[in-house]
Amino acid sequence: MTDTLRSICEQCTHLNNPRVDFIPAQLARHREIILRDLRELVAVASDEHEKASVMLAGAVLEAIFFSFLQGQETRIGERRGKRFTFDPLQSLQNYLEIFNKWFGRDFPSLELPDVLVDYRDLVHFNRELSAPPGECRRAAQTLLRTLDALLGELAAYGRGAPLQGEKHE
Amino acid sequence: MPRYGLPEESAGPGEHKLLMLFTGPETDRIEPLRQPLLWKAGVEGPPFIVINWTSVKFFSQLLRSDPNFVQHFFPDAEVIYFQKRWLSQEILDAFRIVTEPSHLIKVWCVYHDQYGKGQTVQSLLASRAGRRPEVGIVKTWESPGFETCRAIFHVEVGQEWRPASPEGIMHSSGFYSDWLSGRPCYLLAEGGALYYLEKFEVIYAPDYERLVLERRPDDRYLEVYLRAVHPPEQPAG
Repeated sequence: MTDTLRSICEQCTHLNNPRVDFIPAQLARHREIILRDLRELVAVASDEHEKASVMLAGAVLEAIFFSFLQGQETRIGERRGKRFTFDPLQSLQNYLEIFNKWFGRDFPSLELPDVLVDYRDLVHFNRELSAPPGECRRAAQTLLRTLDALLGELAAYGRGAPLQGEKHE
Repeated sequence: MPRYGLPEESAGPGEHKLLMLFTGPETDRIEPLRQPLLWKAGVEGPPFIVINWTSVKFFSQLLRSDPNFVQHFFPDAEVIYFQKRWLSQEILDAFRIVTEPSHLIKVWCVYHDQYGKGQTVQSLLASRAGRRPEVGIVKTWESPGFETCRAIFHVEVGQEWRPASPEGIMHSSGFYSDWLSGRPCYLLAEGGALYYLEKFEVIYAPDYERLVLERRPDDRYLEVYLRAVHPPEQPAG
């Protein structure tokens, strides 16, 4: 008997009570979509829908990187020593690389390996066909836990670090 | 006389040089292209950049068959951008692109419901064909008979294999959760070796810096105790 998606969801406090302060307040639509998708993710995962969980978890993962990086253009520019312009047409792979490169050291307890993209890519029929049986459920479990850890770390980061376009006393 | 399309001296003094390797159409030449460096700003004059472009396949061939000819690309070369999976090992070595520690073994996780009676090394490897290994291990100790060993967990982040964060693995990985629950879990190495995960331990080991590409900031590593498992090479009977 493996961990059920429901039992994982129950342990994931940040998935159930997400704080998205790390997204700048002016990106209200971003927050709205992410919170809706998180609610739907918890609902399908609690009903043990593994494929739907992979699809939604992958979408939320991409949306979180998208929104966070978009709000951190100035900081990335400072760190790389030249202007950084966020490209909204890039892929999850690209956002993950940028996040790990410029923020990886800020989150030493967070593990966001390149293979996460492969888990998300199981949404494609050919990818799942070539994967071993049970891989979709494993991917759903890993993505749920990873999202929970990411949300927890970013919530703490949002409280401690000023975000672009927001005033902090 | 240009060889392989490339003049002996392809860039003049003060010019920048860029080697661009691509996958795609076959070629048997290195094509030089001289461009104003500031073309994006509409500047047509100097400084110039000479872009030598060719295929990964052809450059790899030259490295093997005519290494002296491409030698001038290497002194003081700086790798600006690369995608490891599209490059050959010869090119990675030639440009000293180091993305993993020596002795890294890349592995896939094999869960208890994926490994059972009748599974052979070949069938396990076949089920992982074309898929990126999920984790890596670097052995820190091995028994004289090679039946048991200890190793540090690695993950691939930004094309580089680095020692994993103990908390990251413990929070997110399915195999750690399975191990905690007493469910058997295995690691399948690219070479076909199969290991049973016996135990995890978080250790403080500053001396492991010599085994990894980049030390953990707190010198804490997740060490795993492994025991070799020997499934049959071929199906029985």
